[in-house]
Amino acid sequence: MLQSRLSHSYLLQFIDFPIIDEERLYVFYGMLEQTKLERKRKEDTLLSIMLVQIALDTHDLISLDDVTNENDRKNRQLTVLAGDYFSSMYYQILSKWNDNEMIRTLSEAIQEINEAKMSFYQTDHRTVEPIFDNLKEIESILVRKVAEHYGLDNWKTFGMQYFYMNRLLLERKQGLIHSSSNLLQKIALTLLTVKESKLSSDQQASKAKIVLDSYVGHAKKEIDFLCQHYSELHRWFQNRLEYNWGIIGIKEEKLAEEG
Amino acid sequence: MKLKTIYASLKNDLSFIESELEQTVNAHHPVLRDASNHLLKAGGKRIRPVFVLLSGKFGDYNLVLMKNVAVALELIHMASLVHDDVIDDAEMRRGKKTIKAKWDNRVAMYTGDYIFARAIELVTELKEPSANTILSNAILEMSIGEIEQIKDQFNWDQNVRDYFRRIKRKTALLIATSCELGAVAAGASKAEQRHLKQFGYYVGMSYQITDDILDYTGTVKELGKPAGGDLLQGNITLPVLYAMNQDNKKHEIMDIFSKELNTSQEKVNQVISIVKSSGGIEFSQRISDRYLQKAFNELDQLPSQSARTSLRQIAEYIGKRKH
Repeated sequence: MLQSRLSHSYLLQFIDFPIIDEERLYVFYGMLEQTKLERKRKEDTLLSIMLVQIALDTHDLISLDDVTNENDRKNRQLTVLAGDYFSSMYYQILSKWNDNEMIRTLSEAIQEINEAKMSFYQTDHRTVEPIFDNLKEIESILVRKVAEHYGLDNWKTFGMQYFYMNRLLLERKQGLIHSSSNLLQKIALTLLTVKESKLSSDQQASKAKIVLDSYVGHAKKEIDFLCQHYSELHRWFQNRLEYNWGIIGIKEEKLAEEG
Repeated sequence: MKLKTIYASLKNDLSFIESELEQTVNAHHPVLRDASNHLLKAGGKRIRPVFVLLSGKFGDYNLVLMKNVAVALELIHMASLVHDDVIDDAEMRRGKKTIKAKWDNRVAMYTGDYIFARAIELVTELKEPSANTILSNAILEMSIGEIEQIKDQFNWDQNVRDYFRRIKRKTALLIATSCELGAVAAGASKAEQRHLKQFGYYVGMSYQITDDILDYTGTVKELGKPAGGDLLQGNITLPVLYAMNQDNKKHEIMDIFSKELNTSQEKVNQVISIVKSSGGIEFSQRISDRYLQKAFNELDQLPSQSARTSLRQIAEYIGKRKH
């Protein structure tokens, strides 16, 4: 259903098919299963939440560089419009259900996420801690708002930490594959402007990776702690956690060693 | 008659809307706040809020309720402009640097998304459930229209029907929605809601055609940007569509754009000259006038009152404006 909504033939001539974040799909599905909504309404609400996330993610793809050829120009133009199109669909789907409250919840979430993204992008941090706080906000606002909307406190606590953890792992993976990531660059830049300015760029990059790993380790401890407290949710997430940890191949001992 | 004179009867209410607009985009992050205010402070005709308020006069006019719709409609328009400037890679808007030029594309995207969400949140404060349905349908159509516009860029085989469908989605729907939602928020009768919506649609069509004419006839001072900007982007509008249907002008225009030697501005200047000599401007003006007349006919179905006179004056202004 989501795939068919995202399949606009002209858009797909120039932009990649949007990435559907399966982790979010899984978690939001689990959350909606806890509600008393009728089946079709659950499906449409899930669709709307995912469209919001995909619209936001799509707009993150807009590059800052000057475009030099017609194909890149079309790609940029249609990336802007694809995000707007997906966003307008969530609003229309929920309007059909007269779900004024959910429309409000999601529009508030979008505002907060853009505030957090602007802060991540435009603030010159003096230490690395606020960078991670900011990242956690970006990743967790949507799940927090939806959980609060349906009064699912356990899911809120768990979901917020889970998406933060996933983002850290993604950044780490990108760091391993491409030698860097947006987050690693931002950490390195912060280290440069604060107290590590005598480090070479290579040293900054490896220091940034060590800092990221320490936060991954800390986030994992948080998840482990939550798993003990919310055994029912732990069972729900167990396979996903194992899958995610396995694919990245991080071992706690390794993190301790590097940190 | 100047727009300021027509707006005189709404002066206090519009000042209130203006301060509400400022408060509504008062984001926490300084860059988000500055970027949102940057476009707001650049001004604009505020036609959508005015249509909301005047349409509300046909029902139980309560400014506290009306302001949510008026502010929301202006914000949706603003958010689309912020994103349009990224699409068009535009440097200037309303005589000021665009957000994407003053900051960058990413700031423009975040600002547009923020403003858009803020607008939707405001509409949820209305108790009338149809408000979200009306607005969400209009916004979805608008976004489809924007995609169609990119698809039709430099498409020399498009026809006048394609153009009308595009400008309906691009401009007329949001103006029609402004009128309809103003009437809905004030609890005007169904018949009045329908006539106001149709009035807004016809005025919106006339407004966009006039805009497209001005792109060929306006000066830099009047437009805040050089003439021919639409053509430069590959947007084929009514004046050029008319010219393309005369003699061999279609091939002449296509040849101009296919030549490698000339600069873009030289090409545009040549096409402007062809459009002017073909009678494309006069033809487009006649079509715009025809839409205006249809708008007046809708007004005639509404009760006689000062708001009706103001709507007529604004419609007349729109058809004759120079910028």
